[in-house]
Amino acid sequence: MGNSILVAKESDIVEVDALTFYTEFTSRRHLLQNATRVIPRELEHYQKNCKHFLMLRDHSAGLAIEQSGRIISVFNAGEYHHAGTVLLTKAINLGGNKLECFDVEQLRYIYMSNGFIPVSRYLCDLSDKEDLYLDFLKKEGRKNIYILFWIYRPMFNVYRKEDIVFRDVHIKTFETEEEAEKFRDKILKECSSLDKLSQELRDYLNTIIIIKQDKEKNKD
Amino acid sequence: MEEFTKFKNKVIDLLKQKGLDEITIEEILKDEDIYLAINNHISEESVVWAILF
Repeated sequence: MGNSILVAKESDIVEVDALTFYTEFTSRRHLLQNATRVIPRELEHYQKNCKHFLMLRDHSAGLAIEQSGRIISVFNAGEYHHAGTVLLTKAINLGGNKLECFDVEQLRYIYMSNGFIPVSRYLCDLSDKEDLYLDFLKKEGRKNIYILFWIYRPMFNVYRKEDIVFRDVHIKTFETEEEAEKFRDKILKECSSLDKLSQELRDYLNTIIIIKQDKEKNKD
Repeated sequence: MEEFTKFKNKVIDLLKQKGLDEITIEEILKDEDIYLAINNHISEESVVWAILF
């Protein structure tokens, strides 16, 4: 057998328990690529807060879904390509509807291309943080980094994905993680139906997301 | 259109360099995702990274 390329499919996903997820994830952590040096939670957190743990059959990639619908610990430390998208699609089908990530281009793209919208953020000071991933960022000379808070696609259903342009500069920035999270959750709650969306939040989302056709129209 | 074609071809080349065949690339690379990347100033390398992740 040669070195065949492995591309993940939905049928490769299995559900596991909290202990399996925690053990397999932490044991592979050193294999993660820099852009996804995601920080594992304590086993207790997974046991208390999560309702689903999805992994590829070989346990080389996975994610967890909290009771609230928050997707956490998205990782791929193996040979399978495309695992992130396959796992996210399955997570969304199981009720996953929000997540957070460091504001790096690769992660921004994987989440936006899978239907998520960044709605709030806060600036994380790296100086008092101890972590392998953050050391990587510090070596790049970064003193801080935004943490982005995302919600799953309430507006993508009415717009074509290829027309969407995000305007980062208008994403609300909060002093603390808690405030950014609270604001994100408020939007998510109201966005469960576009009809229920208040004018204030509708206006806000319209400042973050512009539709390319509108943008081009406005040029005329 | 020219920008789209140039961008897509570079993504395809990079994916081939990673060992993916044309059939697989056609299955997982969607035009809408290419447009999304271009509109949001995402590099070809990041698109490839996200596809492979």
